[in-house]
Amino acid sequence: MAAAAKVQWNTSIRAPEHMAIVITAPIMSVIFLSIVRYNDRDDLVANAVIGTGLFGIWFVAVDVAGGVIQNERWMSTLDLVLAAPRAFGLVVCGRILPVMLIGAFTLLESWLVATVGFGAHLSVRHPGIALAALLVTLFATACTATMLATFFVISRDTTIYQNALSYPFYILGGVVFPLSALPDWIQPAGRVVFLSWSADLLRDSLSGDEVQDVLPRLGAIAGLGALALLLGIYLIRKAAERARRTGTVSLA
Amino acid sequence: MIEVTGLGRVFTKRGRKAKRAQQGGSAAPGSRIVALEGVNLSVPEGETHGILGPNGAGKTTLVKILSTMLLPTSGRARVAGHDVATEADRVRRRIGIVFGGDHGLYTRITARQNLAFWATMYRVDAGVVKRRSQELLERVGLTDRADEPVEGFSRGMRQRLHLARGLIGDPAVLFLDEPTMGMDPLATRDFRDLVHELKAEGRTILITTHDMAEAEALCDRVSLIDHGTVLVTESTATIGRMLSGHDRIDITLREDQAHLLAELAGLSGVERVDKLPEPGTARIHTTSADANPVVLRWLLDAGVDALRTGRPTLEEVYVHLVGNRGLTV
Amino acid sequence: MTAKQVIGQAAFVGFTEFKHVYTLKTWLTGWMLRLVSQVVFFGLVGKMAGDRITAEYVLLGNVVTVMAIEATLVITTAALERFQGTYPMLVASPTNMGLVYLGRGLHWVVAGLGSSALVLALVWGLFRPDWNWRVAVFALPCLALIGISAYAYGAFLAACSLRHHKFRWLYLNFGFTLLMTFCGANVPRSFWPAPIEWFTEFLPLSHGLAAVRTLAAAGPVSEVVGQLALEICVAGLWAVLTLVFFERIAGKGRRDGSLNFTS
Repeated sequence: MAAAAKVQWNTSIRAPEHMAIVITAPIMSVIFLSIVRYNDRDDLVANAVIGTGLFGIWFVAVDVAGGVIQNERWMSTLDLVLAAPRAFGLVVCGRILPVMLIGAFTLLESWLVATVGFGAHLSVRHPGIALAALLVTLFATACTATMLATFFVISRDTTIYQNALSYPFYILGGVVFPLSALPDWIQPAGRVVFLSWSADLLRDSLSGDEVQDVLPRLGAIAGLGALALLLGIYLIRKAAERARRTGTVSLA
Repeated sequence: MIEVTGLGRVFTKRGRKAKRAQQGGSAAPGSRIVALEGVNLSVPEGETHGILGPNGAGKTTLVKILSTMLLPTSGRARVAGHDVATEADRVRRRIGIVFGGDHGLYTRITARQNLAFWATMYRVDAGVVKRRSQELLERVGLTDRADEPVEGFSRGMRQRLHLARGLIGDPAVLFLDEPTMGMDPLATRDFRDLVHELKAEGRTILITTHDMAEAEALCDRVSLIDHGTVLVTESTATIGRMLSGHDRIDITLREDQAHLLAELAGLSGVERVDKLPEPGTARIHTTSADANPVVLRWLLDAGVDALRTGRPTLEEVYVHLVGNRGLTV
Repeated sequence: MTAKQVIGQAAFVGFTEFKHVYTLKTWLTGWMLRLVSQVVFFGLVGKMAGDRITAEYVLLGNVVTVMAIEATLVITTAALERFQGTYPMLVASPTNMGLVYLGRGLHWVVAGLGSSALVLALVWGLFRPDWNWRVAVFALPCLALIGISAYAYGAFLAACSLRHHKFRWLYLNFGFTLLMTFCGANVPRSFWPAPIEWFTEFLPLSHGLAAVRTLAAAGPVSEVVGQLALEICVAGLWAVLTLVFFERIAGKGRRDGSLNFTS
């Protein structure tokens, strides 16, 4: 897994398209902050900053999950990887974890945009909780990306699903606005997306109020992540079995 | 039709690439790479001219300059009466370009649609396009597949379509850069037949290759090029004589025949005899092709039956020519 | 040979390629789902920060921006062209490559027109915003115009990306996020510092979007016409820049030997 992590880190550094989010994330936060500032709602700066960060983390996860598959397919190593389906989950997870750092970097970027670009004041009232929430979120994202990677193996065109995995999840994950802004019927669906728990907890950790139920909420994020990883491993086993029967991995 | 005087091309690499090249040791400090130097060439109308040389000799650079894709850094070149540097647009209307390999076609559209696209790019009159495309497709044997997307084509088919593409503007001058690269022998033969037809129509053709057999099969004259300079320009027949003039016969002698070596060296028609590394083997260089039968007869009469005749490789011809130039210059 | 024929031939190649990439099903499930949720997402951000009016303002801005985003995707077609190794051939043909390029990605304008019209209909149905009926009638020509100017701008960026192939993603991402951010989709252009606001005068989308907003507010027709006229000027500006710039990079490529374009 460490080896996989190294491979991905080297790939990401050399292939500039993986770094796209580092450029686009600050622009995103400019958009969010302009809306907030124009409407005189500086109390929502935290939403904009955290929103951009989660946006970045999720984007990187989806991008890398798709990229790993396409790379492996190009290099026709996918067959070999699939021959050992248990390891596949770990390989993908290992390749995704280091890139999560790029995603987390966008959080720092958007904080800079807010304070330097927009002169907003943003303080973290509960740094311990914020850090814990961030770390658990990164873990859950890596797990979820592993599951997505298996989806991509099974599906035919990665880019189309990558598209569908972007904004719908920013809505369901309540990354900028809380889930309560959505219609009631859709809110339960949002609760299944770990991003919504992350976003709420991160926002609470920045506000002055006492943060309630920290551990259960961290547990929810981690639990949803773990669930995704298990589902991913299960799916890849199924896919590997199918591939062995029909011999169609490379074409898939 | 093609007039080249003192043509040179130097590539200057800058920045990171240059640094890397230096580290690799492949480029001189300052990273100036001389691709062509002082090239002179004159190809009259209707001639099929071969540019023969090993990979990296500068063949493609020369064709790129002549086909207006690249500017020379020194010297001049005129194609179809126009300067390639200053009158590129006029040159472009008179030339056709066919590069080897399977790049350069739109693979999602059909062969016929590719021709229609390029016809427009070459400003072919709209009324003529349909008829000319059909003619060209027939000519390159693609009528059956003309309305299928190119992505399903074999390499040979793509290459023939490339040729049709190069001809769509009815060019006076045709550049073929390694046109049969990667083709199977059958496709190569068909392709050469096509080139003969084009030649018969009076088109001027410049063809680059690293294959002597190809040059012999297609060209009136050949220029040997290496390290960016033209070593010699000669008619194919002369080059052929140069080659056959340096035929050699490899023999293997039994122990009891060892004395024959000394006798061979004194034989008329034998230039010299070299011992080969393998024990009992030797290479006889004959003075001319006419001498071969005599020497062979002598060997057979002497009871030598382990023998093989061969022609020098292209590399050996280069060595020979460079040697010549060294003496005469 | 007329420019029209060159553009037509180039557009044909583009359309055929497009048909291979998308089927109706994949277009609906992937791309449309993304676009609709993107517009809704920003609308909800607007709703969080302001009121219903803000939300409707942001919604309309982002619907129209869909057109501009999709038109700039011509940059991806440039990458494809490079991959196919057809650039040197185009340069060595007696036709301006820029002219080819003004046709080569036109399918993105048509696709974008379809996307943005569909998104407009869906968003209108879902949120019942208080937009004047004139939007429904006249949006299409406005969108088409925005599409053309954003396309010309995208073709210019495509020319730039040819020289810096490794950074083509940067041109693409910067290209459309610049429009998304500063051209009035989420906040009025006057929100930005004066130099930025001045610069957006020359960007596609700015004036066309203003025209659509005037339509939605049932503003005077003369204002709409004026704004559309400015959008046409912007389109012309970028089209000319594209033609000139393609000539320039072809010339530069001939000088420094970078016309290989076959990686």
